[in-house]
Amino acid sequence: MKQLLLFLEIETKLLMRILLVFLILLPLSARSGAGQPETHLSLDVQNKELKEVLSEIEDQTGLSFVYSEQDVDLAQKVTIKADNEITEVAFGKLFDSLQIDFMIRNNQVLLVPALEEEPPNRDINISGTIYCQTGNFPLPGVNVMLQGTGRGTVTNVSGEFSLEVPSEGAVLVFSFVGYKSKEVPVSDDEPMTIFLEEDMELLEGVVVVGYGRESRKLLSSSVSDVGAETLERLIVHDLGSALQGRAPGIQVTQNSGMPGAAVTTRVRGISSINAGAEPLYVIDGVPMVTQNLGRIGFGGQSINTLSDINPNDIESVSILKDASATAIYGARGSNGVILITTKRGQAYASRVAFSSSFGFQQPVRTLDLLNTRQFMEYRNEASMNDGGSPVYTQEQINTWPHDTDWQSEIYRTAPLHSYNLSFSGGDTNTQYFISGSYFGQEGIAIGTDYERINGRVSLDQQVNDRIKVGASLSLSRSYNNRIDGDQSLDGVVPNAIALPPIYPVYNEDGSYNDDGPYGNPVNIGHLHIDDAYNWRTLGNSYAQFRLLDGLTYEFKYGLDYVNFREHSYYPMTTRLGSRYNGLGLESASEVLQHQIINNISYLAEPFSDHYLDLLVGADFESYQRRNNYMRGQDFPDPQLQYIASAATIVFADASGRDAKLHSYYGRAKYNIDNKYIFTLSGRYDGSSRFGRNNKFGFFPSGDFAWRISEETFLSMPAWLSELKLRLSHGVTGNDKIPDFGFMALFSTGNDYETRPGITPSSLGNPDLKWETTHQTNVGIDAGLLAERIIVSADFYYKRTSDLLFSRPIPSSAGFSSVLSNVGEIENKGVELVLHTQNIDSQFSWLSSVNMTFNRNKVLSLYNDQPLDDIGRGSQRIEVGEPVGIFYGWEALGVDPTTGDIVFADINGDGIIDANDRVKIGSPHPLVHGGVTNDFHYRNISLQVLVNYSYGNDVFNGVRRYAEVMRGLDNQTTAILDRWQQPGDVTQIPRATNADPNANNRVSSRFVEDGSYLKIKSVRLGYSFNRRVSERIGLNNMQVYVVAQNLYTFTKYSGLDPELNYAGQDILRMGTDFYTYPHARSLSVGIQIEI
Amino acid sequence: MKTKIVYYLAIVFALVSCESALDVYPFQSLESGQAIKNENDLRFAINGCYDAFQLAGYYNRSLVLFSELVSDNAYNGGTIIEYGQLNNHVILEDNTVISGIWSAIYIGINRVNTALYHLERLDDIPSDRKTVYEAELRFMRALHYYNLAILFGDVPIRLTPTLSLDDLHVPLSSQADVLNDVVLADLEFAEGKLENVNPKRATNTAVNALLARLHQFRGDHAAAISYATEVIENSGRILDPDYASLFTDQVSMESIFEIDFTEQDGNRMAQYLFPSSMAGRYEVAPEENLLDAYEANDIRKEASFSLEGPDPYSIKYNDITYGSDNVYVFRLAEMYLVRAEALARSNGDISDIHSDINAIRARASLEPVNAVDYDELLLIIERERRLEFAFEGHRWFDLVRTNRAVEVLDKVTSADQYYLPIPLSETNTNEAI
Repeated sequence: MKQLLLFLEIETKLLMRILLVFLILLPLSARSGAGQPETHLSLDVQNKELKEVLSEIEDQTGLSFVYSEQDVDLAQKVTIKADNEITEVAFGKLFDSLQIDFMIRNNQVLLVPALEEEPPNRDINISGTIYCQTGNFPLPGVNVMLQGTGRGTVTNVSGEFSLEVPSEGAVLVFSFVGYKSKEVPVSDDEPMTIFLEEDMELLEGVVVVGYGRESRKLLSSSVSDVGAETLERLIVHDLGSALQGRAPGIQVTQNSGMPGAAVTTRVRGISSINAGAEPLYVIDGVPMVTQNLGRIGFGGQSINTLSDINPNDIESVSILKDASATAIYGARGSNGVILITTKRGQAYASRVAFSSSFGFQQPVRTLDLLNTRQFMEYRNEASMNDGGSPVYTQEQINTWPHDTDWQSEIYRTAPLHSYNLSFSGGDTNTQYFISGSYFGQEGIAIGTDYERINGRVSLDQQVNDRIKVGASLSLSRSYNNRIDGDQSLDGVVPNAIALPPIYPVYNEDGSYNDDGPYGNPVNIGHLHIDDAYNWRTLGNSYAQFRLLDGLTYEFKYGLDYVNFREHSYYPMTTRLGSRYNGLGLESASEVLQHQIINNISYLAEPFSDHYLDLLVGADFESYQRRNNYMRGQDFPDPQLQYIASAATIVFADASGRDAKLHSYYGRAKYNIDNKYIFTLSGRYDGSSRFGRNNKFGFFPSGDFAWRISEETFLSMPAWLSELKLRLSHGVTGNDKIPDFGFMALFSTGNDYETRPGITPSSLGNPDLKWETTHQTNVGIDAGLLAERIIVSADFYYKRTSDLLFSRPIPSSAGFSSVLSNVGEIENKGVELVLHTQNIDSQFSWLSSVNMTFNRNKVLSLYNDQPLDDIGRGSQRIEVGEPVGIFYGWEALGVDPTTGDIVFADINGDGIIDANDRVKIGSPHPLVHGGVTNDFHYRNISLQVLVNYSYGNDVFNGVRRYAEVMRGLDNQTTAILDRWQQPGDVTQIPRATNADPNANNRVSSRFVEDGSYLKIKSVRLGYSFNRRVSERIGLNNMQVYVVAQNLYTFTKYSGLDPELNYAGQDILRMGTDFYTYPHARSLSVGIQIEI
Repeated sequence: MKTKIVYYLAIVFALVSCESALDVYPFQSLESGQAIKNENDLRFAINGCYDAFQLAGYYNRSLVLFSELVSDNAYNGGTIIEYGQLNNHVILEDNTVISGIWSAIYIGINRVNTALYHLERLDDIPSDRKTVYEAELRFMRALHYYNLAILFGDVPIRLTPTLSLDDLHVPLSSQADVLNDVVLADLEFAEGKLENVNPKRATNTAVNALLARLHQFRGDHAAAISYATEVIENSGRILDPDYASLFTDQVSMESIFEIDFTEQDGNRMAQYLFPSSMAGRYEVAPEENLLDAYEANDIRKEASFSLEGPDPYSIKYNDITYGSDNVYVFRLAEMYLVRAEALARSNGDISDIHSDINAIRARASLEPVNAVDYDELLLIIERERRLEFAFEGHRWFDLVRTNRAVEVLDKVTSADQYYLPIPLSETNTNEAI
């Protein structure tokens, strides 16, 4: 605009001047004649006034001068020498230096001041290139302005600009969103090289919150966020891993090392027993489908639907934690909300980015198991201890031909690789982002791999100054090739641990040997097919209408369509398959979740220092799921893997389920002078899942933030640059109860003699409703030493009542449980984050530490009856204790006389029975979190990410079989220290198959300290100098090497303390039971930008 | 502009005002109030009652295998800890096999009670048909309670369905009351009211067989003799001349009541009995002294057990693929041995006893017995029962009934071990216990 005005100004001046010339000339023209004779002039004046010179010329030539005395300074001194020169030439000599134009017409000479055109000799053309200081890459779209004028330009794709500037005194101002503005005086016309420094404060200045964005400085609720930069640096291939250890208040557990396996995510502890504790995931404002759609059992390990998202497409992840942040998600807010914002194009920032990585993975750890001789000796001893005869003769022990290390047979070094390509850019009206990616990974155990292809397009268009529309669509397809694990008798990992070394992998004829007590894991790994295909369409489109200044209506339609198909086939040549002459399973699930969002936001015009921001809206969400499932047996040939070839369809079903949610929500934010901030928000949710008597629930919240550092009456020390106090309180809910849980139902399919049967299946409870969580949060944010140190602390208290509870009822009633709202849980805790810029020079070092201390406690249960004996670790829910403590007998050690374990007789009645069980451990950590360190030196960067958990116990369920010295399972080498004769003092009891003392019972013997500190990722990067990368046509190029899961410090004796056989199950957390272990990986990669 | 805003707001609130759309109904289930509206629905509910016998804790697996494991018939050759505990008589209150049996039987009871409740309220069924349905249902209930009483001794009695949370807590009743007030009462109601067609469902014969078993347990010898005789003489069932054919796919002419399993609705017997090399779990493996107890010519041994390498295993249920082997609750042979035992205990006619025992032995290609001492005959009957019904779920109950378990079983040292502990899941929740 300024440029336009400037242009008009120049143009007007010019026009007026032309007009003046014509006005003067017009009357003269009548007298002008053709064939004017050439006249000559001789002059020789030294330093005379112009007036005199003009008179002399008039005298000499007979010409008369016409001029305005305002325009022509007659007093100025002139010097001129002309020796009979043509008059025009002489005039030129005279007037040019005086900046006077002349025109000769009919003996009159018109004198006017010369036009002030942009004199080329006064301006210079300056050009240059602008780079990002830290990234060393060019910045397109930077505004370059000549200070004090409207003159300016914008850098091109390569960060280059050129501009005409005055040769003297010019100052250029460079400004770009996210960077600190810079003023540079122009000294010469050499090309300039400008480095802009990122403005961390501004760059991280905006946080995504529910239905909006908020300036970090003005944020009054508790929200953690992880930005794109962090995600890109992590080189992770799924969102779950990206969040692990990165923010306080969120605990991410990778339950299994199986490629594509689901993670467990907890925000501020566990506030539910039966309704799920996973947070709500919202992507670009649309809730995502996150449930496990598999119909074919894989122990607790489900497929991670979150892994469908390409982390490279994510701009930021916000974790909403306190009630003030989550109440706007009402009945789904209790477990926290994770908002994912995807990348979109930016105006004048055209960018092509490509990255690729390639690496290898290996198992982090394997178990030390008995060899053949040790195994046979133990078996003999067990048999003889029970009064039996040896199982193997000494001859057999000495000459047994096989000693198979099953673990080494199933593990392998496995590659993983990824490719990402994205294009983004646009202009002020239209922005686009297009990306595609491929990720492929083989698992470290045979029979496993994972592959994902993503494509995404987003488009935003400013239609006119009132309407903006946009859409984004992402498509993904993932393929999981899995193996049965954990609880299965046909699992590769379990069988490789449990199968004794005395069996060979192959028979002499080359076929798989299957003589052992469990199926041959190599055979299973190679021949069992367990494929899962997930096709996902995630899209949304919006239209924003600016109705009045500050008043905007937005309509949004969001869609998440998931098509999940499983294909399993166990040929007759494996143990499981042989039982069925070949067994084929097929399942397909289709989920369509769509949502209509309407909201109106109003940003009032600031009145004095008062700001008001309002939002009201209504969402309508519908969920439809359809499944089918088939099971066929009796296949004619192992090669035929589809049920078309099965002689018998044993089972086939199709089912459907619908759910609906209607919600109305609002928020009012009132801000006085950016010092006092008040927010009220709430949501009114109605769900088809809620009982008839409780169809709708209301979830309000309020908060207050006080930016103490902005107070003028308080004189803050200079080192304290920011200080903010936050308070919030509110109510949220958890709606994840089974559909129709409130209805008393008869189920179908309970048939007899192939005639249909119906049976009562649930008692029903018309009062059934959401869980209610009241949460109070107090937070402090402080910035020290000009924000070189940023500290945040949050203290929260969450009390959840009306627990959705499948409460046990006497099974003699014919039902084992009934869904009710009973009981209370509390979570209270402290979250700390410390960001520091330790060194800031050519060598820079940034670090970030976060710690979460959460204390979980069950406050009440139905009649305070404990829930007992849950899962492998005999877990228990008991009032006064955290959810899911390990509960069993306390092992005091091995009696040196009998070799049996002495269990504590807690009640002293002389009998060891159920009444002697006590708490023997807790899966909850005392503190967990992560540490990030970033180092930069010139072109080299190094990131080290660590995450840790301290004070949690793990129930090592593997040892209950692999150290129990009973039965046919192979044992770990720990049993070499077993009790063998009276007087032996050891921690390992005797070998016995009869085990009359039940040494193998769930006892403290199997509970271990599960604390760990993991060096999760170490990444070393090298950015090429721009000179080098430009030579090959790139703007930016970085190569790196990254090691994941480099080392784990732990006392845990199993494969990994993070493993969990029951997946996301709340009640059975912290139990390791033959779970697929984690891999250590080493990758190299490259990131380039054009 | 203002009109426009009103227009937009109108759109929003038009969308808002559709609350009834929150009404969503299940596709796979029926609301209880709508489930049983007519006689046809009732028939489906009765099918559901039979379905309870197919539960994993019941004739599908646990009830039958339990009796073998806790007696001298079998040992735990597999890996399931709870089976090992049963085998060793280290039976903790939290043993999941036991709680599985408990809840399966009570699920069956609640299904029957629910069907009876609705039956009473269906007005359009003629009263004669109503009586037949009631008899059928009450036979099932009698069988459930009989099983409970012989497993656990004293148990809660529930004769009405659990319809709300007010109906949950019921105290224990004595075993005698359970047998008398429920089992006997139900059976006496059902007696003579049923047809005698399909051995996979309740029949008059099945009612009489259960009465014979009940009276045998209660020591009412005359009644046991009378009901057993009724079945033997008037049921139309005959001893299958070929013992092995009792365990084929065909319904035997000897069958009184058996639980139907199909390919779609299979049991897990064979899977738990077959050795691992045949894709089984070998959880319940025959003891050597059981196999040794067969006389040399006894054809039942070959028909009941086979060898896979060195490992013997039961082949009475051999469909490991589908688990479609039917499981016997009553077959005619039992009635001969019930009558023989009752006669022996009531000083009955020796030749009648011989005749009953020898009917069973003759089919097994064995020489007739000729012992004349009652005690000796009782031991012969006990042994015949063990061999005739090996792996059919009788042995433990026989030894408990005759109070011989302490004598016969090493791991049973007192009669206190005869009845299972009430599962922890019940005692923790039932306020009346």
